[in-house]
Amino acid sequence: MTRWRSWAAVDFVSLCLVLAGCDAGARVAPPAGPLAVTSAWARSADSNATGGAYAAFTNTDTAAVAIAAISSPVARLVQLHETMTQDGMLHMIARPAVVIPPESTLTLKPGGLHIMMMDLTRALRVGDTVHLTITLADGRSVAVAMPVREP
Amino acid sequence: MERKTRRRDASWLVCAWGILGALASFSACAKDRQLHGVMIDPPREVASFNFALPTGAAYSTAPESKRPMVVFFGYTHCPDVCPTTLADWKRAKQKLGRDGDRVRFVFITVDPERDTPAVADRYAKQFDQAFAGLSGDSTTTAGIMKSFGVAAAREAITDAKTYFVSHSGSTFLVDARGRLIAMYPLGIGWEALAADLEAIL
Repeated sequence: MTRWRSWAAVDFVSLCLVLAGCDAGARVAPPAGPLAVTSAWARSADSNATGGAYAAFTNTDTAAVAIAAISSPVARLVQLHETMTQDGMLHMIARPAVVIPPESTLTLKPGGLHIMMMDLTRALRVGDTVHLTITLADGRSVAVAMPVREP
Repeated sequence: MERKTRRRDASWLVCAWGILGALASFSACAKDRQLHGVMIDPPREVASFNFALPTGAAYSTAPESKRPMVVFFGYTHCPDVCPTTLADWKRAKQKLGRDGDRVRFVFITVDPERDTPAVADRYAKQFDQAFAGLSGDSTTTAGIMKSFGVAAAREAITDAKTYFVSHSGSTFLVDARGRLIAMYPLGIGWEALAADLEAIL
């Protein structure tokens, strides 16, 4: 479906570097699902434009979690992308198979890994809430509600 | 030339040395000025271009007295780097207070096919009403990109309907004389741009 680039495998190493370990001992309540999504927010954007969103994905499970798909009622297509610099040029690389190792957090941030929402069906205004459904490779899904903030 | 002056009139010599001294200390000051961005040394003159605004008026990138210019090449369908950059400009402008009004913040699209002058202008003004969002015809776009030494390339993605444009991620700082003096790569932080603008304003 999504094109894998030959050098994407190499980049996966750098992606792994931003994965931070999670202190299992600090966990208090057992999580409802394997993937906890926190600090999620979307940029304000016009209708038909391309929106961007960020979040922190924490895998609370003892097994790795893979994100298979993301969808939203406000966009025709939602994908995970990573901004990469190569030869002084910025490229966006689709990340169709992001894997979050056990008990670790993957943080999306401006200038790096981000959620891309293409062909927005409506304008996203500051104060709105955007809903996402993150489908995991094992078929489970996580519902996320994100506030829209200033661009 | 100085030797001739000495022969003709001693008072000219005093005067000439005075001027030379003043020039030397001035250039020393200019040389000592360290910017936080990646300095272009020596500064490089950039060519000026005219862009049509949605109002029908023209926007010229020609230098304006006492007004440095901050330039970025991007496109409005860029969801990550472009908004991050323009949000950084907004922070830098706010930090400068009223002095920030003298800075010309200019976003130039490298995707004029999708970004009409109206779309580019609206995009930039989402961040600050004083920002200019410019879309030129293909000749103007290619010309100004060449002048700044930036490249862009269209990249298809999963479906034919959408495409991305890979592009240079740096913000450029042009002084009030139309010379490129520094670049700010993605990730350098808005504070560097704010500090440098403060230093040259």
